[in-house]
Amino acid sequence: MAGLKDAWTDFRATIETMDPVDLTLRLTLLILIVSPGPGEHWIVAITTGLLAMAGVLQPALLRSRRYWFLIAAVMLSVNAVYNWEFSDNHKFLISFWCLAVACSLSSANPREALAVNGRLLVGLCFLFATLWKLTSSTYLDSSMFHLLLLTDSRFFVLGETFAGMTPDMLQYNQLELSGLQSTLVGTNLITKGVWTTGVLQAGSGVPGFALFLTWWTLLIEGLLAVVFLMPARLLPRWRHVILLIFAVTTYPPSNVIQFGWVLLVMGLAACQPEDRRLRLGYTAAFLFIFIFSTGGIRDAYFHWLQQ
Amino acid sequence: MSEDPLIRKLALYSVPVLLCLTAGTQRFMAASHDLNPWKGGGYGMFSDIHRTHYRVIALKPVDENNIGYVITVPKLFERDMDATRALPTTSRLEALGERLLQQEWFLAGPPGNQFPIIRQQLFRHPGAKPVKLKGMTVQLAEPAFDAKSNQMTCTVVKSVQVSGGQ
Repeated sequence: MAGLKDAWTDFRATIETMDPVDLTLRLTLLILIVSPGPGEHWIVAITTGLLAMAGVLQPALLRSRRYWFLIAAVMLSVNAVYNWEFSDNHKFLISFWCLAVACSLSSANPREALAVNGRLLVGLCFLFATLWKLTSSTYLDSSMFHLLLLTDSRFFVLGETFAGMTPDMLQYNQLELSGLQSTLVGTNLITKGVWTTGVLQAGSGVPGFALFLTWWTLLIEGLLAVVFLMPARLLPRWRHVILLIFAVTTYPPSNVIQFGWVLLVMGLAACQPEDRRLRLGYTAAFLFIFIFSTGGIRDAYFHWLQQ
Repeated sequence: MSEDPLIRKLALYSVPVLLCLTAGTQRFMAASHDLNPWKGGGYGMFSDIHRTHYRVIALKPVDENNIGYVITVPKLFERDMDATRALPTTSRLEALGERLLQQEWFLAGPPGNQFPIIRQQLFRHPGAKPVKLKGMTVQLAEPAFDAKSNQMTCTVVKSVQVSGGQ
């Protein structure tokens, strides 16, 4: 226990004394090294991974705008041009963030430029997300979250804990829907023009929990858009507290960690230099999401909740 | 140190403007060309059912005698299929059909079925009969999920005919 306390004290001292720009850039490099998943294009995964390693090993690169322009060029050319219709939104966001870092390092005041870019990118991302949700009928009637709880492995632990889903139900539903891409369905569609799957299995709490997720997500994302896009002098600390609450409650249970990391790094960049505690909070949340999502702690926690 | 105002503005606002342009383009492509809202940099993830997963592309090739076949789409075409499901424009559906027609096909299933199966040469049985395709119907079916019945229904919304072949 004493060891843990010492480790926390050291961690706290390191984060609070580290230059805010360096901390932001180092965490960005960490995302580039650890985040490529199965859906990542191999060119991005290898090139940015190697470039980020070089940045970690050679600290002089950290403040080089050419270095960040190179990373941004690789990411944008693959994620936003070649692969654009396949690319997840967090891949666009991290690509834009690397470009924002490069642009900020070209300015006379990199810290201020990073802060403005971070604040605007977070706010705009949530603004567009909220607009999409407000104009989607399948979102507003909660059928989008309903289907996710029934079929998406990433949401299964949530569904099992709060909505009565079981592993058998999830497996059955996934099998039923995977059949949509079979030649049998294709042949039937050609001849009949319509195909309906069997009835998917649902826990008794799914409709209610889907409704809760629908309105909670809309509320907090809309709030984040407002607080991050309002003038920087208004609610300077509250916007960060709301983002931290959102990130910690949303990304670990739903297992969408890359998006959470990018948002946290941009939120960190938007902190004022004197906000030492917020920087500590962002860094701790960044590590928490990583540990919670990958270390089996997530499953153990939800198992404990079910009991 | 004084800074050129243009450089300062570019450093502060060029990337947020780029994000807005990308999101606006994605929104336009989703409205006009049925781009999957989850993809393309418009932040429409979790706002709609994931259309790339549940859209169905149905293919019906016919030979010179107007006999219809069931086609086993080769792995090589997975990216084309995914791209078409993500952004199912008429031109993409046509291009997919044309590329498939250009391949060599062989009868794989037993003859006499209502829709015999055809495969590419790589997977054919020894002595399998080649099939000369004349044209293909490529259809797109859009998914709709009914949360009351817990059922997904796919309905054909687009259909194109392509002709050609080897």
